[in-house]
Amino acid sequence: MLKLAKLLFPSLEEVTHDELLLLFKNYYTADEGFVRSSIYWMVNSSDVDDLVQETFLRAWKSFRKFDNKSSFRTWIYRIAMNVTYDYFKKNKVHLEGFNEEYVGKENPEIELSDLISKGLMTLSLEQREAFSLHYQLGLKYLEISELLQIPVGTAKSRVSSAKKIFVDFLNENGVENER
Amino acid sequence: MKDNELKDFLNKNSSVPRAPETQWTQIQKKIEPAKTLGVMDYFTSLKGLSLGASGVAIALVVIFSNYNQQLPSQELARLKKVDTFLASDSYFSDSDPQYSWVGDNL
Repeated sequence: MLKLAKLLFPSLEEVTHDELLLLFKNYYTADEGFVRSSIYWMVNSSDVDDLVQETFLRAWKSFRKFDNKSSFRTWIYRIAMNVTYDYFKKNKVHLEGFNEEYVGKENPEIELSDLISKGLMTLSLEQREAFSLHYQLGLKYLEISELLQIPVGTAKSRVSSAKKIFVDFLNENGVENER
Repeated sequence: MKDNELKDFLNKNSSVPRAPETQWTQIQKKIEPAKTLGVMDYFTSLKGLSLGASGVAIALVVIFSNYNQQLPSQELARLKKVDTFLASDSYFSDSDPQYSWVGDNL
């Protein structure tokens, strides 16, 4: 979408306010789901609505500064993660994961969705980010490395270590493969 | 657990809450507050406008009153000059006989 915009308007400075708003709305319509999921799997909270809004507002404010060096998705994803990390800092959430003892062992009726949320919270933010991009949003290692601006090997390593911790957590809480 | 099994497990048992239907409208309101003013917002902005106008009016009154205070002193100085001129001009003060025709005609 932005590449087309660049083709039509070599400089975004030439785009009128209304044209820019239309481009922005088109992007929102096309990719809001990706932004929302990326944030939600990090925070696991109903605050996701506010964080999505904040992401798009920040993106709008710096929209004309977008330099097209990365894809627009990468650019807005980085904004979404900055918003998410600011949220963690504001709410004084430990940035290295909770590692708390989960009480699900004594409660066999626990919802699997809650268990998954808790499992994600045992991961460090870096692991959680890579894990959710790969397993929940379906991105390949190369795409993750581009999005996070890290080497492919690092992306693989983060996903792998996160998977081990997460699966161990599930097993400890009575989730077997067949469940 | 294999990768595909883990993906299936996560897909089946977790989901992301849907976006509120009004989300884009809310974002747009924040992007362009001036274009999406409601009736109450209009009155609120009028209130702000009237406060601003009152401030300007007060400032003008203060400036103007100071200006007026300066006028009398300038006016007095001017009048003093005229007075001095009139007092020093012999035409109005001399009792020289050469002007006696003035008195004669009266």
